[in-house]
Amino acid sequence: MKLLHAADLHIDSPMRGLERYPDAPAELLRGATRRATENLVALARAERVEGVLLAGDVFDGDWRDFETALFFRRQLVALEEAGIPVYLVSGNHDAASQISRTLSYPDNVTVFDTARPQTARPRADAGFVVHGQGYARRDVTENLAVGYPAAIPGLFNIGLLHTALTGRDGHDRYAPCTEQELAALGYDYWALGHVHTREEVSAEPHIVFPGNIQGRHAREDGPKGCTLITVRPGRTELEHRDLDVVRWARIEVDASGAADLDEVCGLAQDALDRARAAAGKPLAARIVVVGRSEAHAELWRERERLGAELRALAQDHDDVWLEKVRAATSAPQLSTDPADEGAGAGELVRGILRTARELRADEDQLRRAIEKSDLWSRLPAEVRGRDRLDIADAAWCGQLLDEAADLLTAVLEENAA
Amino acid sequence: MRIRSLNLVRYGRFTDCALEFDAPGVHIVVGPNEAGKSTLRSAVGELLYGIHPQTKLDFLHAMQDLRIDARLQGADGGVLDVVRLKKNKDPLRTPDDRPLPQGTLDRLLAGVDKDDFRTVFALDHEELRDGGRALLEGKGDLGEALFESRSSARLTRIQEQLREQYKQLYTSRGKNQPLNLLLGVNGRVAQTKRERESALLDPREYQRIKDAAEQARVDLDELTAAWRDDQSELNRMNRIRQAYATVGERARLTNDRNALLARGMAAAAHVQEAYGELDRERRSLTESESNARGELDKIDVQLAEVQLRAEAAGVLAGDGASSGPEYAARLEDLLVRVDELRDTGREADVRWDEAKKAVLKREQELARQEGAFAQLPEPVDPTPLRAGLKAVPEGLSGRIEVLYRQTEAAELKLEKSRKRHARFALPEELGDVAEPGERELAAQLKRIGEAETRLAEAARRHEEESAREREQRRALESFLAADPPPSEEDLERIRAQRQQLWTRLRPSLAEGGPAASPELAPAYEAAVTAADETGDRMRREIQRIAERRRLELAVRESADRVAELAETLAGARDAREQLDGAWQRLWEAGALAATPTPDAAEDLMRALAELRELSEICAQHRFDLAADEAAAHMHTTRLQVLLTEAGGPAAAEDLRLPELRELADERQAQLTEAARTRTDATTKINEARVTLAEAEREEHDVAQFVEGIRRTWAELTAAHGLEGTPDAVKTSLERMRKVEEDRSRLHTQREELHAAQRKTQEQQERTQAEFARLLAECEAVSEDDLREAIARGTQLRRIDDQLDLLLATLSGQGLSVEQLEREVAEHDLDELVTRIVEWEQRVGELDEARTAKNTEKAQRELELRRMDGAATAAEKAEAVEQELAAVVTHGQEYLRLYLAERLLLENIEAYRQQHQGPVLSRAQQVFATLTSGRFVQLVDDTGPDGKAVLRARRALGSAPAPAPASGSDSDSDSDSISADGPLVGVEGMSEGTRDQLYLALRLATLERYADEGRAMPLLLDDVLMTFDDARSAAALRVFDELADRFQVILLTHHAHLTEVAAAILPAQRLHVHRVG
Repeated sequence: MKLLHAADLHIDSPMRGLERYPDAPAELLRGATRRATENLVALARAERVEGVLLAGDVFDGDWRDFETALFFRRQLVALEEAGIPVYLVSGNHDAASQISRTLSYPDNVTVFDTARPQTARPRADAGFVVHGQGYARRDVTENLAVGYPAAIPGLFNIGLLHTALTGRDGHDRYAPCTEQELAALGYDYWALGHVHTREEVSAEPHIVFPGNIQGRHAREDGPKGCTLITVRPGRTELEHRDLDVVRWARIEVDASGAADLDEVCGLAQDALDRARAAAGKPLAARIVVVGRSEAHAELWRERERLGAELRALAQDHDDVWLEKVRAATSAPQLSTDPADEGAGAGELVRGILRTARELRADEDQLRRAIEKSDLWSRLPAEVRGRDRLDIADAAWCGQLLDEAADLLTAVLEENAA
Repeated sequence: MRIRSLNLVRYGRFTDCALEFDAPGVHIVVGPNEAGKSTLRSAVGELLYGIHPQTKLDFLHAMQDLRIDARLQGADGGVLDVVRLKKNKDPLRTPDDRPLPQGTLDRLLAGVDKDDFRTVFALDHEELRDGGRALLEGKGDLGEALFESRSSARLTRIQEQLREQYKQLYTSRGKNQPLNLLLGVNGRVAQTKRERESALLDPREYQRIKDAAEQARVDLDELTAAWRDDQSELNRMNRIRQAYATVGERARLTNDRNALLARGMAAAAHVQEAYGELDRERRSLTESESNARGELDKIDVQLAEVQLRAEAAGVLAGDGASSGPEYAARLEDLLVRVDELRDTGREADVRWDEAKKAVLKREQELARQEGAFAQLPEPVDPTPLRAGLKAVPEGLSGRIEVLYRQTEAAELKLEKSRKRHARFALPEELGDVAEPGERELAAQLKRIGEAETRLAEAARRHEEESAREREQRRALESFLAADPPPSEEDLERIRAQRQQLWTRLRPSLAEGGPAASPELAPAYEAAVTAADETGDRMRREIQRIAERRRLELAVRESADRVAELAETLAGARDAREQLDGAWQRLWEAGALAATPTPDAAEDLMRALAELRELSEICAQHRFDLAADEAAAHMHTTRLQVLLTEAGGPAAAEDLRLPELRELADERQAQLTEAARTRTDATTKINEARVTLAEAEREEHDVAQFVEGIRRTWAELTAAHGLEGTPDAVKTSLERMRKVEEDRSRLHTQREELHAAQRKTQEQQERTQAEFARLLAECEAVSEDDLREAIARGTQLRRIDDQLDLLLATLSGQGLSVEQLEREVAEHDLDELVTRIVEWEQRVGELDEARTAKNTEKAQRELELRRMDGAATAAEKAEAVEQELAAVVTHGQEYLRLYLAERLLLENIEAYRQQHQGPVLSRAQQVFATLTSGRFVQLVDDTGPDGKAVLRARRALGSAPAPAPASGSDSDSDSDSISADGPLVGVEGMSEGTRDQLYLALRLATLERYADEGRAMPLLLDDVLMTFDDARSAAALRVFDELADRFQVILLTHHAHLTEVAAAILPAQRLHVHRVG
């Protein structure tokens, strides 16, 4: 018996952080979440699974285009035509979504109740049974798992739940519960959703976050897809299957051995080639140049050229979109000890670094300094947040300040030369 | 840190340019332009911080040869000599070329890095002017002024660059900056958002359209139902209207039918058909009868003609009928018989002629064969010759050839081998040679080898030990040559000498003893002293004595070992010589001319084996050759005899076997051919005789046959009364047969016609009976009555057909005919028509409404179908994200640049707060000196915008100059005047004064370094270029004052400056160096 477990489809959730530039492979990356969903359906059909388990967040909560729902419905109909039942619980995003409320589902789909746990079985002689409960509202903070019924003996019991368990980085702690609570119910497999990074939390019983099916920004890097469950007598095999059509990658380029920007570009190209080959599919890449490097100052002075050169190199692959190029190098002559700030540099640089340190120590002052800029108040709300210009995040402010100090010292060095 | 001496050994244009900067005071390096002052300034920097990897100063000296030597003195007084090279490995070294860690030098530099040194401790004219201009650009901003005067780095300009850069990304009133294009109401972000919003399909909108489509479907269903009802009613009314005419027609036809039936019986349809058929048949029979009669008449005429022809042709003789089938059969048989006899007779005649010709031909052939046989020669028997040839072995001649060549080759090889081994002087006949056995020889060789190894090893060890002994002897000799300590033997010898002298002296000491010779006592004393000294020395130099003893012992031991090894060597030589004797004896038994050396023994053995093998091969080949040649001779003799006996040509005596064999083969073939020819001739004669006999028999048989045929013919013609040749008989018979055939045919035809007449008669009778039956069926008495009944039947059936049609029309309207007739009866036609018009209008209206609703439904459904999950809005959302990403990228860069500027400004402010007091205080003194007291105070004043500005107070009595023009060198009072003198802002200062102010601030800044023990040499490159003598003198005084805290090196191409300096500085405080 085979089953497919996926979650967090977030259909039509756009790719974030990809600034358009000439010859960027925009067409290749368009509609990635839709194509990943189509891949899910094709896989289910190809593997002739007996059921598809969707553990919530099919839609983005704030997305209002009903065409998305109609697209999803079409995919469900394709599964229906193949005789594959679908089991669906709503997640926090679905609960907030207008479109999920309006959508009528085909007959092969079981949408679990949100008021209480429900048990579903495709037919009387089926070898498995699914228990689940969806979200009635976005912020479900009570433990839903405690209300789930006990396992039915003699069947492969599956628990379908949208939860962050006891908490996961970057994810709201909805429907909190513990592994022990889940294990106590005696189910064979817990099909969870909500956490976008794949994680096999437990093997006995199987408690699995399959991750989302398509990375949408730089933090969602690496392979994305679903879990193929093969139930054999006495054992259950799990297998991750890629569904993503675009792979996000964070590529670190160690510039320790590079003397100048051109050498860094050479290293970056090699790294990019390797990453593309490893992914085996279109790539949205962030290149971070690291290490104590002779090229440090040049990278900052010539940061525009660095970006342009690397984008030009990325065009060697017609399916690589360079999301960002970031210089995170340090000057080779400077001490690596943070307490020994600027040792090895001239007095001017030391002064700048000292001032930066003082400014960073006072988060509010730094935040106010940024807010005082003419630009800040004109920025749209969407860019003033996580992964973007996140002024609320002290680390982000600190990094911006460090970059400003790097930039300034690079200019000072150039001026001194 | 100070530079005490600097030597540009190989650097730029300099070679061994040594400069001493050790003395206190101001050092002025004078040289014309292009003399290398800048090179000198660069040299100091590269001495301390390393030569630049891509230095351009290798134009005279090769890169790898560049070298700067220096003696440096740290703040603590410690001195360090350094050599700076342009090398990747150990570029810093000591004068004796040992690597010097950079850390050692770094300690002297006290944390002043390369950039600081270049921007803080070096100053040239351009930088000075630039600093002055920066003060003016900063409008006296105190923070900037202080910050700028820290070094030559123009930091406020960097700040402007940063500001310029972020303003290129965004300004609050900008239009074309990237962020301005993205943001705002009409920016790309807002625009793509609007596009996204317009592409969104609201779930409520979808629901609305879905509901509308459903409603349209329901409405349409209702309309369709109403339309169907009304249409049904309309149909019913139309049906009644249509039934009106049909019902009326049906009544009329029914009446017609009844009237028709009242006139008489109506014949059924089959009667009509039967009557038609009978009538046609009746006419046809009458016609046939008439035709038969005509034909019979014609046949009778023809029969009369035939009878006449029969009489003319005659009749066969013999018994039986003269006409009829039997007569015809006789004629036919006779014709066949005549034909056969005629043909057989002809064939027999031909055959008889051919047989006679064949007999003649065979007789001629036999005569020819017998003549040819008589011509053949007498036969000779080839068998003996064939046997003689067969006895010659196959391939004998070829084998002799091969053996001959093999023997020659073997002999040649043997000869070559003999020559190759000539050095062993081996005898021709090797059978006499008796060499030692292989094992014996190997054992002996092994013994000799081992003996030689032992001998060589003994010689080597002897040689080594001898060398060692020589070495030890040389060591001992060296030891003894350099004042060797006395040995025990020396001591013994000296003591013996002393004893000897004592022995000689003691008698004279005894009372009454003989007087000793006068030299004996001193000699004895000397001997005592020598013994004591030797003993003392032996105690003192006990270690050297031990060394001497060790050396001597080693020499002795070595000598002993050499002697032992010499004996071993001699023994080895003896053993070797004995083996030589044994070797000689080993070879004595052989018949060799000389004993081989052991080294050559193996080669000799191999040579003997080889020669023996080759000799054997030769002998074998010779033997085989002789045997084959004897056999060949025997066969040659025999073949010659046999050939002669066989009548062959006489063979020459010297013919060799192959040629003789060829002649014999040829003769044998000739004899064989002659025998075969004779046999063939005999065979042919026998065959000719047989053939002749057969031909004669055939001719006789054919003659008998011809006679038989002639007899038969005569009998046949006589029996039938015929005569003439077979052809004439045949013609007569054929004529008779033709007459008989015609008569027979005509009789047959007449019989057939009679039969046909009979049949027609029968049919006519049958037709008449059928006709009577039809009359009876139709109750008719005449054929006319029958025809009328048939006409009525036809008319009745037509009326019935029309009634059926009307009934079908009425039945097709869904009601029974009776119901229809009732409905028709119930409705008035006019009223019905009026109502139909009304209902038609009503149904039309409903149909229109239904069509409109159907269109609406289709539109709604089309709209719904269009909502098929298109990704338009999602793509727009991606476009929004891409624009937002651009905002993030540019925004981050903007904020980064903005923060960089903030950092710089904060740093400037921090520096001002920290250093304003001491720097201004010190700068005030320097500025006063530089301006020769024209300015007495530097003041931290407040500018019009509330910011701190730097102003200088002019001394009272110091005359203010007119307002400054560009490039002028006078100062104006500006801004404010106090009781102590006017305050002058930087804008009010002359260019020269501003330069002086900058120099004052710059020099004041340096004080901090001295206070921190981090003073470095101050390199001033033509900074006084635009100063007049008075200002130069003032500056030189400042430099001299500074020189106790900093080493001051002033580079200039103005030799005049040295005069100015000499005039104001004591000689011990001024040091002039000339370069170039």
